[in-house]
Amino acid sequence: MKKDKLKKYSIRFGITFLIVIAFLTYFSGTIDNMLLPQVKVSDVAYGTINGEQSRDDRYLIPLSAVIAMGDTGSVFVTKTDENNKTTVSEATVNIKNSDDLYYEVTSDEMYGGMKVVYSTSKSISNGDRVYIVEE
Amino acid sequence: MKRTIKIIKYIFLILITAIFLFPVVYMIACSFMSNSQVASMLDFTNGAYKEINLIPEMFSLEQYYQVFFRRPEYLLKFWNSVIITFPTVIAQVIVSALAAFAFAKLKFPFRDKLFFVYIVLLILPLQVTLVPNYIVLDNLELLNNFLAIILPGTFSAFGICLLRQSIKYIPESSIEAARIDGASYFKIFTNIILPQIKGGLITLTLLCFIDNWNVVEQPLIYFDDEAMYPLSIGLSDISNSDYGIVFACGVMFMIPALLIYLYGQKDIDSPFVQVDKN
Amino acid sequence: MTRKRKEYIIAMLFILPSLAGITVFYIVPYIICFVKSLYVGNTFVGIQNYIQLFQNNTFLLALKNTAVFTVAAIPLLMVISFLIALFLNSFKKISSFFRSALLIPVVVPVASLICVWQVIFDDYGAVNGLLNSLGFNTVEFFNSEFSMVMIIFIYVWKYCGFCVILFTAGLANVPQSLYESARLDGANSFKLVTKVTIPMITPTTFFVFLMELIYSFKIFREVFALFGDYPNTNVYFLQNFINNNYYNLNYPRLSSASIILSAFMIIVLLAFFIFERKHSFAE
Repeated sequence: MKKDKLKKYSIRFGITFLIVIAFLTYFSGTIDNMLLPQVKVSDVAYGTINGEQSRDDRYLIPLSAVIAMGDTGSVFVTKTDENNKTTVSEATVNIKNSDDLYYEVTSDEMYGGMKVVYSTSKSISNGDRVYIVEE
Repeated sequence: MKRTIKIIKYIFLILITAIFLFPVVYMIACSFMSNSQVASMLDFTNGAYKEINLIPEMFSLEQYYQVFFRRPEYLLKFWNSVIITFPTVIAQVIVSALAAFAFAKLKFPFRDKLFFVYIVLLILPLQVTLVPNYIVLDNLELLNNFLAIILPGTFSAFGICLLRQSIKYIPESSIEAARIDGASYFKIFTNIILPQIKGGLITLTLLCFIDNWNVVEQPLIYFDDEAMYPLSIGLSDISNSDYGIVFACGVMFMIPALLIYLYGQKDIDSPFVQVDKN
Repeated sequence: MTRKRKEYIIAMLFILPSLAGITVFYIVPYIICFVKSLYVGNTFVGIQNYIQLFQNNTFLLALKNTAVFTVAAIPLLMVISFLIALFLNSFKKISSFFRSALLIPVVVPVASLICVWQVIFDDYGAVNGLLNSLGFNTVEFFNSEFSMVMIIFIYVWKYCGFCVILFTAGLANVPQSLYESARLDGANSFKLVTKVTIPMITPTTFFVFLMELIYSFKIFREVFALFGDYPNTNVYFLQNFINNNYYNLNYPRLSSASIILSAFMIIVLLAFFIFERKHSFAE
């Protein structure tokens, strides 16, 4: 009687174990991404606030993307590798101008077509993996 | 006096058991430690002598959290292990049972000589056949395919020796009686032999499972793609880099083997006992 | 069709799947291996490769270590597990908990335990901590002749339980009447063991020996996991030699070493067969 119980439980536990692992494997991507900081990004656009031409490259970045400290500030730009994993890196910007929506900045570390993080669910730091939420 | 001897005997028994059980206890204990504690435990450069420490400084599920939720690559490796091991075990048990029946109970010319060849094959180390096998598998175009491990693993002389041992103990008379009733050999095999060698089958399943679950050499040689490596290789690798999850991963790795063992533990020694069990 | 002939055909059908597989995956590769050992490139050189091998110091070292390990570890394991089996047999009734603990070391995968062995045997590991507090010098388990001791210890620890189970099963098969009649003849317990038990369990002993031999080269996995490709000279086994030549793609040397390793194993096996024939009373 006791013997059968042990058999029954080990079979049950084994099947449960495999199912749980299968479940976790199937959802591993989902879980992994869910646990990452969820960020929203916007494209970095060339341009100036008043529409004038400028000698150096100026970019327009949403206000909330920049952590400003006086004339300089930092932004997080995203980089997606071939495995579709996204990491953020910190870039320094020089603030030239601003209005209600945008900062007008220059930076050596940026170029057009980059994406900057303007909203995140958790605090992020240089080199962290993040998950980009589609709008 | 008699009582003292008895107590000493029991103490000795418990001591032996403790030595055998130690690794499992230790691994499970360590799997609940935090990353930093494991890292300091496995850091051999700080000049302090290690102690066998079973007590977590702070009980934490961090390791399991990492393995199950944050490191999908280890879960995938786990499935690679499953893909390699399960078919091998099932196929080996079937093939071995068939052949063992013939070796134990049927008479045919060269039986004993052929069996000696099997024993010789049985003791040949894996390394001997690894490279020639590579050539054969290459010709069969099975490299970089899980079959490259499953097929050679299926045909092992070990299972035949083990099951032959347990079939030998089945009395000749019961087979003879079934034959007189007109049962075919296959019927005898399925209805008389198989039910009586349950213990042998379980033992073979367990040993074969452990053997294939631990496979290290073949995938390294036969597979180019690291994504196909089973967890056993992954585990040897993380021992060097990823201290934080090594114990939890080890526990996950050990669970299937332990379960099969628990399932069959009552039957495991029966193939070697020839006394009548009725 | 005669019954004999029919039985022959049926037996062949039962063996066929196994025989086909064994031929393709063991016998053919083995023949390829043997043929390759007689060639360098495409030229036939006869036993040249073997002669060169025996002039190779690394190979001789590996051969010596393998021989030492086989000769030391297998009898040791046999004796220890036999004694434990006798000990367990002396209990009238034993909880299955104790018996089931025996198989745990075999069940736990190699890779899971590497860290545990490191914590125990490192230069600053638990064993050395103990030795140090007792006033002994540090024993370098990973870099001295004690490496062999460590490997033998791991081997014995790992497979002891399995062998004990085989032995207890063998002991259970010895008819009680034999003990009683021997006791009536005035045999003491030591005599009982040597004159009754050991001869009666020879078939079991042979089976245990076979298992130990098989498992003795599976210990290579531990050696590999603990020491990597190039272990120190004390535990450089033939398997290491073959493995390393595999990475060098030195096929002639590889295959001749493989052939020698198998010849070595076959000699040990045959020696034991003959020994068993001489001393076996049962069967």
